Amino acid sequence: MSETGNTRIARRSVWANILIYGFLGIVVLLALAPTVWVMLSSFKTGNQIFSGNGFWPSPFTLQGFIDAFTQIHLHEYMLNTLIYAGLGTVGALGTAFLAAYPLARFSFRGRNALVALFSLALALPLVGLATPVFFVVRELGMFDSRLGMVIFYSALQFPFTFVVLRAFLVSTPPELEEAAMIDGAGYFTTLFRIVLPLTRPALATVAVVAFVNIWNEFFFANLLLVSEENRNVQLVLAGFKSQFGFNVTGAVAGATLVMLVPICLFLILQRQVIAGLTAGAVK
Amino acid sequence: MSVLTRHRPPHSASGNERAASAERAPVGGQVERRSLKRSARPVSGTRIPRGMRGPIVVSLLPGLLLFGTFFLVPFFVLTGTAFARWSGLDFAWVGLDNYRQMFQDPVFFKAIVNTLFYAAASVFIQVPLGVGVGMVLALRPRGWKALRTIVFVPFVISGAAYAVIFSMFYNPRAGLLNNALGALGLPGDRDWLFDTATARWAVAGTFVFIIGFVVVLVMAEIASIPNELYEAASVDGATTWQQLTRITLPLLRNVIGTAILIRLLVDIGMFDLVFILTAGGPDDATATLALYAYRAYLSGEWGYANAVGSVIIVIGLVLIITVRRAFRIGERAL
Amino acid sequence: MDKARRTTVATVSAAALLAGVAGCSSGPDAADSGEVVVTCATCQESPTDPFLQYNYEAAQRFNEEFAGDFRIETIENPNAGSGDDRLQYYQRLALADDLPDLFQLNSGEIKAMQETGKLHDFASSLEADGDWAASFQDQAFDALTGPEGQIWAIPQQRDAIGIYYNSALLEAAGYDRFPATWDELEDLAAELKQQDKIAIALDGDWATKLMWANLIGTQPGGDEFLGEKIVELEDWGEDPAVVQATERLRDWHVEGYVNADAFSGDFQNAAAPYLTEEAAMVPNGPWFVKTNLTTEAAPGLYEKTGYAPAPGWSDGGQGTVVVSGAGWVSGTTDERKLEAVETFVKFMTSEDEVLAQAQATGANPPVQVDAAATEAADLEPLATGLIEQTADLTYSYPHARVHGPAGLDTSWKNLWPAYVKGDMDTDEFLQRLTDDSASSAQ
Repeated sequence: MSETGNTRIARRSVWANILIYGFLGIVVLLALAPTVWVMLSSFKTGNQIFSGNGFWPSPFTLQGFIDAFTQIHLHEYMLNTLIYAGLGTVGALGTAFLAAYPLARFSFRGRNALVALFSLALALPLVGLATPVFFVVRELGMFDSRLGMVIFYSALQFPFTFVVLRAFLVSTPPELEEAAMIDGAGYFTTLFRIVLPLTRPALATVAVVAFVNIWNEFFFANLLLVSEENRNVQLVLAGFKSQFGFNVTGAVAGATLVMLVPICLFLILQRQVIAGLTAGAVK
Repeated sequence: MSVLTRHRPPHSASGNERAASAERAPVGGQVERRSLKRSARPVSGTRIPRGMRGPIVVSLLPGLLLFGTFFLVPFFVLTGTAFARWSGLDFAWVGLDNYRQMFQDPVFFKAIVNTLFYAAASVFIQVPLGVGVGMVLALRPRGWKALRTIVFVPFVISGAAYAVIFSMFYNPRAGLLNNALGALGLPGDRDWLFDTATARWAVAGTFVFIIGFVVVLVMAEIASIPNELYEAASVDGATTWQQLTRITLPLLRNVIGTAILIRLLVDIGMFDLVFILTAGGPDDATATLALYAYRAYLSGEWGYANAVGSVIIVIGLVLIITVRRAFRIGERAL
Repeated sequence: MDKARRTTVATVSAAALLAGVAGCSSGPDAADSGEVVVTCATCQESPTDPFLQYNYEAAQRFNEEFAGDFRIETIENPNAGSGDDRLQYYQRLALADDLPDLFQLNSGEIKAMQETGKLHDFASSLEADGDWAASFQDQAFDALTGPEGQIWAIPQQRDAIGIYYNSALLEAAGYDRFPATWDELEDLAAELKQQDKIAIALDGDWATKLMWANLIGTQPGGDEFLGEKIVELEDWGEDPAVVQATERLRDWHVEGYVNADAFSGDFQNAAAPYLTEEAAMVPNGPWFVKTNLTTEAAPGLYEKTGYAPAPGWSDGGQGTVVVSGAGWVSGTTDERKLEAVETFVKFMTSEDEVLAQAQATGANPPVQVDAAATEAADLEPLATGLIEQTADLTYSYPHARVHGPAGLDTSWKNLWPAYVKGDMDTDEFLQRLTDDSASSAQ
């Protein structure tokens, strides 16, 4: 952040401060209380959760976290989700980078149409395409397959990644690449040796956002996956609500762990996440 | 704060680069104001050097393949089958029958009304709240950085997780909400999610306080407002309140429009929360268009599901164009 | 314009190319060893669901016995146990032409799945093996039969579903036995409410409809509604038994005899207050003992728990729901696989296996079993006690969703909370329930 705005602080009264912190306090409470309460519940016994007695865990137990792995096998679904999010991000970044560079740098017929088309996908409610997507995925033999899901998630994150990377590339000066090309470097050599390192900050940004998006994805996972062995963590969370033989402590602890992954990622990479979302937003 | 703007081009720019800087993502922290600098002209770019045509095609191919397969083909399938009875196997043209059936189904109208209700909750509660918090945090009160982080955290939690959280939170017997109301001496026996009087509000309550995204956008935009404007205002004796309402707020028009756009897109396609929390009940009081389409898909009426899908997309486009007009968001990219 | 169109064409042809490539790579796997492998989607190991666990163990025994000829391959399936999503799961697989060779469905789900035309008809197998067909209990196939006499499933159990009650809470309310009439049950409920207890725990879905069936079935002609009229009538409100039952069930909610979270459709919300001894009664089948009562309950609750049939509208008019539960169905059309499937379902309905299942799960055999063998098998007393009582009860009837249209569950969950909370009267509720259940079944 730059230093703008600091001059505005000086003449705030005590009342203004009370107003400011009161307002912020209420908003934070409304936004976080349910989540914090559920996270605290993951240290409660099933009995306490069922009865709803008390805000704090009493007695305190870690059984839920043990059950989340021993009974619910959360780690298996987390591994699946890691595969989808990890490889899906790589796929989206790879394809988007390859497409963004020529569309940022060179002018040719159809370029603007193509850019507009890719960007338009970012502005459409994609759930409207649910049935056709199911149909296409089934016809490609990719229904309920891990590889299929990775490819699909790459496609799902492609428009966002493309738009941000292209905007970034448009804003970088082309001199270095032009010099390399004059020296006889080929297109891909230039792309990977010169452009890629320069693009790293933008790549890091979109990578975090794409990863979190895929980690949190429910709609298409619900549509395109059915086997236990292929499910992602969000499907498992949704399943917690409708099971007969039900371990509530394990479920709440599991839900907490699933939420903590993107939260931790955000806390560590706050800068990139915020920059990425802000950049994607203005498109 | 932005990794994107650190690499902006030097100011001794050729015409090419000047256009490029107008195209750049305005992440904030900078002096130039996007709205002042934006040009509607498309970016020119250099002509393709000799021998590069082949590699460029190869470079575009993977993206085109992905995009074509999972966006364009489904889109054509959607437009084609919205006018047909289709279950994935059998196929028959039925003209406008799907749309006729849709407009005769009261549940469809409930779904539209609910979807628009959620959109309205975002536009009139979530976004203003986010703008308010963003403006307050931009005043840099003590601890603003930590507060920004805290306010943002709810945004990275998934819809499915919120469904689990709020099915517990709203549980009329063991949930926090009723227990807290009871402790305050208020009536604490309402079944928030399964009472037609409160169900929609309860669902809206799960997302209207997730304002981190708006806050961050607003703060970035405020940081890019030149300080001189405020200095001049202070000299003229304007109070903080006057500065906020007369300088900051008008300059935020663009970013508020953007925030509304993004939320509308989410709301028009709202599914996860409702599907997991209430499955659309009671008496379809919480059902959304996406859920309505999904039900049709499940019962094998794919043509009908696609007709509903087309309505979702059209409503999305209409709302987006309206908001872009209303907030005069530039013609770039779209 | 022109550019855009050309781009589009290029992209679509590229996509078509991708489709072609993917199509080529997925050829049929020609495993031509002598062993026929069939997939089973309800045979996975499960620490929480004794039915699945039993299926898993039985499949292992089957594989051992028929090694070299047939082998069951387990598909891990998130929706193997009963739950709201199970039907949707298989419907999606049917749409994708990807049904497992073997899996289990309950009768309501079979009704919906027969529409897909992808289920195997076991009628000819039963015809061909008269001894096997004769070994099943009376009416074992009632709920598993299609409109043209197709047998869509081989039953795995035949159970009476009653009401579990906490005898200590009943005693504290002045009852040393379970109420014999609905009036008496309401008196008990009022007393329990006085003591700040929940009388009966329900879930807004399966368990609630169970009580609805009890209230209908214990009236003269009630079993007729649950059996045939539930499909034939164009308005269930025409049947006075249904109207009376519906209003009585609603009034329990209004009076506050039922848990406040009785509309979520999640059975755990009904199980929870019973298991924490906040609720005195909960309706459920014999599997409740293994899945909940002996695993999650407050200490000592099992000893206090009794299992009773439904009270009657008059003295001596008690009754119970009798169901055949989930049955084995098959989605294959391959001749050799069908031979394996037939061998497997015969294996599963053999005397040894049905008794092993009864021990493991509490479910009762769908086939007649030698009395001495039953005696020796040492079954769960709560479950067997009720099935023995059933013979002496005035009424026995199916669960509402056995013969009811497949859309009943969804429509009920949607309309029931609105009706109980006064948004519509009984006439409107029953009319809409009839209409919606039928239309969403298509």
